[in-house]
Amino acid sequence: MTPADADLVARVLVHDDRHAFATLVRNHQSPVRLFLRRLCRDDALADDLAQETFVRVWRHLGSWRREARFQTWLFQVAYNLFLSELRRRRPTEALSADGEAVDAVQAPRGDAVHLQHDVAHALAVLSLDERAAITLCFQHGLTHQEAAEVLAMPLGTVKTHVLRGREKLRKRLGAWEGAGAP
Amino acid sequence: MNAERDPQLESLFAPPAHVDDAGFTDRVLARLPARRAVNPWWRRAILAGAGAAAAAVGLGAPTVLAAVQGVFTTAVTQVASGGVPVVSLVMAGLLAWSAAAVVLEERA
Repeated sequence: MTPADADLVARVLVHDDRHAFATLVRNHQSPVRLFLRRLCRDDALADDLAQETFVRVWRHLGSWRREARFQTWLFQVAYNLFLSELRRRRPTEALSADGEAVDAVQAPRGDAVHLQHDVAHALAVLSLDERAAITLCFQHGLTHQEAAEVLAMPLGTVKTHVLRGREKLRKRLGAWEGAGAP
Repeated sequence: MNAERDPQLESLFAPPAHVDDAGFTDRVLARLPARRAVNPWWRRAILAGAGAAAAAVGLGAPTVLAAVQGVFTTAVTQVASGGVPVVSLVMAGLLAWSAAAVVLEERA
């Protein structure tokens, strides 16, 4: 929990301060949208879910447990909405659930755009749980415990998903590892 | 936890890309439902009532406790015999609780 988040939340709850809520949205929209984009691999849908995430957060702001970081709670709400969308669409329509077969990354092509492209493709081979755990821990810097809270899974399960996902990513992105991030 | 980290692999994910707001915040704000304006007098009245009840219990604890015990004993007896007044009491309590919840809730 950052003091700034707690202060902004208090202003929203006590004074119904929409400017404070706008600041919260601005501060956190990027990680939430990135997380959902990794899960959905459909930017428009991810942004719709992100909007719904913040609307739901607005409605239930009072239920935020302050011992958890505000961002962790946001991810939790976003992930639950994603799962609801997944359930709603299945089985008629795919929503990037489990891993897909994609071409292996052959070699680094030398710039950040290509790296992002290859990372996205490598993530696509992971199962949904692995992808969510890896994204939270690697990209957003959550601890395994925080990821377990977001994904509503036991800590050991999250560690297993991270471990398996990491091994799959190593196979796909091994060439980049030697080169390092540009 | 650190031993389970893989800095080299994680470095491929970091620093995380940033998604420009590009009107996202405005779109969220446009979708926010209005909060129900809760009359502050309701809150004060409920708090005052709760405070008065607590004070009554505190000041006349033995008497109040004895009365509560009596009511409880009567209620249990009536429940055992299928008495209607206890059902009414429970219903009244539920209604009061629901009314308080409605008064204090934020619009969902």
